Amino acid sequence: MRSLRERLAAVTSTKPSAAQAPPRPEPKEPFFCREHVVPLRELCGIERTTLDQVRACDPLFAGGSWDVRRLLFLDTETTGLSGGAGTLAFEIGVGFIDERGMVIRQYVMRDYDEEAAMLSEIARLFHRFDTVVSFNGKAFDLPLIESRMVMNRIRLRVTAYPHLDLLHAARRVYKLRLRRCNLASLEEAVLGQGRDDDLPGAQVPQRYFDYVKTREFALLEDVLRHNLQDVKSLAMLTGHLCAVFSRPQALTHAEDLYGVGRTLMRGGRTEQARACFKILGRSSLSPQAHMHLAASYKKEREWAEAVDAYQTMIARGEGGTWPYIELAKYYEHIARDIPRALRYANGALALSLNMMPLAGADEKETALIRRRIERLRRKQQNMSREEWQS
Amino acid sequence: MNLEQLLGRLKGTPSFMENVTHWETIPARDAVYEDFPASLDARIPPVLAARGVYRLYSHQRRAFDLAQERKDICVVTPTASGKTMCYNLPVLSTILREPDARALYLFPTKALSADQVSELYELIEAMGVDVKTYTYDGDTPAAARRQVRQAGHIVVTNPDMLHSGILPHHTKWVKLFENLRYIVIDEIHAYRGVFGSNLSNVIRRLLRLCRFYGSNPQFICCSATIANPGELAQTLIGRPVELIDQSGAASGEKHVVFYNPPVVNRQLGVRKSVLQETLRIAAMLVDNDISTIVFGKSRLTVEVLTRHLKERVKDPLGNAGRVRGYRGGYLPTLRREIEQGLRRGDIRAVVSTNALELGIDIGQLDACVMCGYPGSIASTWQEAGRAGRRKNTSLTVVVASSSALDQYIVTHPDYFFGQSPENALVHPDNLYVLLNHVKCAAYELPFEEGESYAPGVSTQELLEYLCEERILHLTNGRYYWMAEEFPAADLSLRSVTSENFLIIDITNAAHRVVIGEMDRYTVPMLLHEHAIYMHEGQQYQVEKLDFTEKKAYVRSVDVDYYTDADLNTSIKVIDVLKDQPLGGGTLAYGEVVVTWLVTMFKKFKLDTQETLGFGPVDLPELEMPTNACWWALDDGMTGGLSMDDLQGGMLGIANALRQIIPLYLMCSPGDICVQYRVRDPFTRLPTIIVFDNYAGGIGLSERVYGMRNLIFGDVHALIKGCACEAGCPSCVGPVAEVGERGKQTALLLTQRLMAL
Repeated sequence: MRSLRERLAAVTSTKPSAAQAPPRPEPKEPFFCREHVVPLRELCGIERTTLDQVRACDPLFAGGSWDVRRLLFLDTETTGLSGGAGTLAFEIGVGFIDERGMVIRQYVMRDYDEEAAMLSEIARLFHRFDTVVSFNGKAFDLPLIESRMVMNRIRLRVTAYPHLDLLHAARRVYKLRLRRCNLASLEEAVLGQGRDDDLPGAQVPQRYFDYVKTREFALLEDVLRHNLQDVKSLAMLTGHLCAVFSRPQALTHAEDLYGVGRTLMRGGRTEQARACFKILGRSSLSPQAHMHLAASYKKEREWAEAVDAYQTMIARGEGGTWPYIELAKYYEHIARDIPRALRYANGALALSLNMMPLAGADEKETALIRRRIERLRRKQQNMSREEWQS
Repeated sequence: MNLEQLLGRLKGTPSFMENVTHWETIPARDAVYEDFPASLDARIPPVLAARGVYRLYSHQRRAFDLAQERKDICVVTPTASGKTMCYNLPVLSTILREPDARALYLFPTKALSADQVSELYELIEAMGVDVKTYTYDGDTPAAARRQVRQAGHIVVTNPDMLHSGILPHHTKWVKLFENLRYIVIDEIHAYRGVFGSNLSNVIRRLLRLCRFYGSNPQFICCSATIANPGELAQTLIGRPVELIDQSGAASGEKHVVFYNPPVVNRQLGVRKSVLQETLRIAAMLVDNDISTIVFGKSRLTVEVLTRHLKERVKDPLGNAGRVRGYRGGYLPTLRREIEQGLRRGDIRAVVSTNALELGIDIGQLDACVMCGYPGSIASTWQEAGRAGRRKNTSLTVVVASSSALDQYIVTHPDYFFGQSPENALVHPDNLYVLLNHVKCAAYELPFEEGESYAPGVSTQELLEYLCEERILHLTNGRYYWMAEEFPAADLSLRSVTSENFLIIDITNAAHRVVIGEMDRYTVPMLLHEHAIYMHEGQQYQVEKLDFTEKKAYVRSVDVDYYTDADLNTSIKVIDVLKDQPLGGGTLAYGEVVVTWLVTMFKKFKLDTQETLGFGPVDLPELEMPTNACWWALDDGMTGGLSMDDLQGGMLGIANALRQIIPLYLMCSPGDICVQYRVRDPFTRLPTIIVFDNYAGGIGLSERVYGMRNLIFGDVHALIKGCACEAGCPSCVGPVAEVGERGKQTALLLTQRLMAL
């Protein structure tokens, strides 16, 4: 009878490779760690950021404080993207600010048995800091670290930490202009620095597997360089975004300003948001900006300003039938000036019918407008009858 | 007429009785009750009492008591005997007392889980307690998943989801794994063959993770009637179980009638159509307003029967809602509507494929008519269980088709009623299955050196092999996953190899849909170009088979023929694992490599099975390593036979064996292959070979080896009992294939084989 090994080889029809891993030197430290210090002046004013600015960037930020010295910047390099129990973070890059500047530490497990010690060290770090800053860490890095901690019987809810995820914050500002919002494209377009011969992320896992087999540390240098830049960029991007939100008028791209305005609006910073949209009133994004502006006045029941904004839009031919209908609603329900409401509703209908050949027939909209006009007419008749009777 | 009157009338009708080959009456049985156990949580009995349940059936009580003793149990009970109570009571009672306790329910299909869980919801609702029961499957919205993982007391899922959605992400299920007390596996008889082998390994992985989290859950399994429920449960969960097979539920008097349509052409062995005869019997029942379920084997049968019965019952306005069809491919909402109609009694007759065989609750019916033998004793009892679910008299009529299997069954009632139902076979240590699951297990949690994955399996060797393949990495006594892939994604539990072909329906060019998958060994036979492929009872024609892209493009058709590919099969023996001498040759079992080449296919008319034409197939050759057993016959056995006679005789035996073996192994006919060689290159003798039609083997041919020559007794009886003169599709095959003396030679050979 054949051995199990022979049968295995037969059923999978690949030949077992004879190559043996070379013996590896016994490491002295429990894991690898390399430290860098980046001077503060390179970090876009990270040290000047405040809780108010962070809340402006990220309306959902859950932290109750923002102490720059208690921030933990974090980015990992992993053996895959599947996110199941078999994916590991073989490298964890962290950064924090102290008197020397930004200290970046890169932890690497040189073999799988170093993971537990490395994670214990990370857990200790988490106890020293109270807020996490990452890029896509909410969905990826932190759940992964938490999962690895469970596997190594370390119970720490790292996902429960207050967390500024720059992917979401940056996307809100730059998505319209950049489309792709990965860290490298943000660095290039926003921070003004490109990466030369950066290792493509897809090659990272294989690099690590090759390193484990060959013990050739040089294979990891590209990965570490890539990760170092990532961690540094976290601080730079934080500083940059906070500055942007405290002085949005300094932005040169209308799209970016629009993103800031919308974020501020969502965060309930109405006045600041309106300031952004007012600036945009002189840009290519003017129709959208006026729409947000008018909607904000309506929401706050600042009717004079709202009417003003609608009329500006009509005067400039912005927003199609929308400002007409909004004005019709305003005059019908708020100002109770039916004839004027009817005038705007008729204006909307005329515009809608005029636009038809251009924009394609929006029958549904036209029908709605007609219904509105009919209702207004009925009201008008009732009113004139009442007037006549009295 | 009510059913009793009708039965009396039928017994006195010669034109009916002359076609009845057997009439079995199974007497009524009274219920055996026991009191609620004292240790049952006090909140439960009042809500049961409100539903009219004041005591438990004896098997429910025993299940509860054994569960309290922390025993793993397997409950075997007929349909409608309150089996869900066997697991709901211990689970609820435990959770009510220990709110941290968790339970996992596994059902083979989604529809089934929805149905069985509704009863649980009702109980929980009526008690007004905080026991959260959630279904976790592909339909669970992403937003709800977090809640299920954190807070679900009872998580209801299926093996596929457990395998690819829960186990690989176990770190998100800490609460479940740490507190898991019960694992309920319902309908375990559904887990046979590859599916069962896979489930067994999923359970191994589940228990491995439970050990990691420090929990030690106990099992409650439920099965329909099969020969080896205890053995099956033990193989599935890898531990001994306490078997509860005495049902305390009441059952009414049951009549099981075997009906063989009369012969219309004796020479060709042609009988009256099974469809016509089924229709006649069903119509008679419907005319008497007796609630009836009719089982057809294919969509076509179901639709034809439904149409005719509807015609029969329609009122002057043309309404025929009292008769409905039910099969796979109907939308879930429509199915629910029909199920409810059946429970309420608005629907008096339903025509179904075996979709209604598993435990979907449709309430009580009085009669069951089967259009053809369902293929196994267990399925037959399952289907018959649909009739007479309470204390009333019930009738089941099995109408035989002209296939050899059907003819054997209805003419050998002793076989059917004397035999315990078939064994369900599982072979969890199939090398393919094992290797795939060891990969998944290693992904989920690193193996320790010296850790045993399964008894009798050299885990070490598998792990070392995976290291050489650079999938695992050994360091400091642990084997770590070192690959980017997500192994569970590449492994489907319902077939054995991972290289599946996609079946794409292009009927609607604007809306192409993937309707299924098929493993690559089956593809050349069923999905070659121009093949008629049946899916969920629907016929499709294969328009294009893209072998490199692993895709088959099919278009929905409605034709009255099916196709069968002509295979050139060669078998190379790799290793003889067991053998024993026979009086006239050798019986052996071992590992073989089967090479297939499909060169042409034939078209056969449905029903009559006559050949309509053929076409070429151009596909690459396929190799499959598997297990086989073979009988090599020497001169003592074949002496005095000419080459031509021997050829015809062996072909005849092979044809008959192909139909008989599934009877014993409770497998589908496609799970095994039977071949013969007048001169086999390995044994150098006339040889009959049976091999598992799954890469790596699933243990079927080993069972055949274990049966030695007993099986030839049945083959002999089948051929001898057939009324045809020199061969027909019901025994050795048509005369045109086996030759004038084929039947005679087959009888002679089986006679000699039996005598050994």
